[in-house]
Amino acid sequence: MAFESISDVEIERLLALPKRVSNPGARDSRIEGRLQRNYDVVGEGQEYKFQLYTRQNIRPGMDDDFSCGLSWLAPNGETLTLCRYNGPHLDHFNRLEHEWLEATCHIHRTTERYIQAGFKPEGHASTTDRYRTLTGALHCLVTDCRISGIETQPDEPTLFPLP
Amino acid sequence: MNADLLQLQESLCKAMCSEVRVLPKNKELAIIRTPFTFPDGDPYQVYLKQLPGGLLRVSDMGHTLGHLSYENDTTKFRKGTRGKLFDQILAEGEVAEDDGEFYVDAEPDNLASAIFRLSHALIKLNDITFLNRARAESTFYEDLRESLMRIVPGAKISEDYVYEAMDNARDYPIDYRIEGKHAPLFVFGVPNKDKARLATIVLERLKRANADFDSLLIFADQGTIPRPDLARLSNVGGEMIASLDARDDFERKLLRKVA
Repeated sequence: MAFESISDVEIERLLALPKRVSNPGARDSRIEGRLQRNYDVVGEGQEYKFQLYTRQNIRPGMDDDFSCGLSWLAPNGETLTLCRYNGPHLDHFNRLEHEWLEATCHIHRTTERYIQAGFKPEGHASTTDRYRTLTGALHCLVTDCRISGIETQPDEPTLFPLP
Repeated sequence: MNADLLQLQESLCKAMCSEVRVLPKNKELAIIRTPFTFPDGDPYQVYLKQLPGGLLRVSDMGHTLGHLSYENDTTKFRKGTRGKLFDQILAEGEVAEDDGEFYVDAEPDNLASAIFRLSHALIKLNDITFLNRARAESTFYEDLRESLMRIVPGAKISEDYVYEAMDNARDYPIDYRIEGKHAPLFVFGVPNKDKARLATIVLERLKRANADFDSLLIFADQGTIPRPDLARLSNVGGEMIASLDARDDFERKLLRKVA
């Protein structure tokens, strides 16, 4: 399937499909100054394959440079990022809306609009205060995308929210 | 040109300056916000830190390769064709690297030039992702289509053909059906071993359904297909073309079958 023809309905269906991590023992690899981990994920009925990934910059002062995301491994061999949960390391620019998000945690979502406009499918992002760390971001992603098979923890509530 | 170039330069400088901001990040680092972004709208990250002796380091703090690693195996950027491009980009921009961190050291007076050099290199490094496997395969299918259309009139070609006279026919797609001399010609593009296996399954299925057809298998690079996969495909498939570069073979074998 060419991604040009994918609709928001199909994207939502892929996101909401119950999924399970098939290699829950996956560990972090230290590569080029970051920790990265990739989980293999299968959708209900084994028909759909996904990849769940985490990235954490481990250079001093870069704790907030983290991401985790979910990609769909399409049967045609292409990969579509369905969503990505970013840390607050820097701003984000929504091209279609011509709006800058300030440096806060933000969630990228693939949308039909961005695909149709010829932009990166996951080019739209929204700010969020649901997490502050990679651990919390992964918990949100796994919950939102109905992924089972790994233990995750939400961030503890804080009395001192980030500015 | 009649415009007041001096005035233009002044207004351009103001506009460009307003796109760049320097913000504190922590005790060691400042963020330089530039208008340059990855295709997904996240900015290229440029940081500033002080070095002993009054030098300044303009650095991406390793973010660029981290960002590219979402969809790519960045260790491949250092091998083969990608590796050559990678080294060339860094050399041209006089950008140094330390374990995935790209940086330029500069005197304070040369800071702007250092920021431009680093930003330019980061943008070019992103372009290495255009060489990923999915894109190469996609280009192969485009080239295959163009080659077919050059040789055979479009009216004789059906793309993404489904042979309806078998169960679950839509699960067994055929890249192209071309009107043949004796029977329809089913053409499969084979860019990788996965497609070789799929084509084997589809051809087996067609044979079991007693379909009357000829087949033509066109590889992106036959030499990259594992021998067992190639052997299985050879057993069920018809003519083969090792790559689209074999233009004469391709044309000769195709025209021999086409009505």
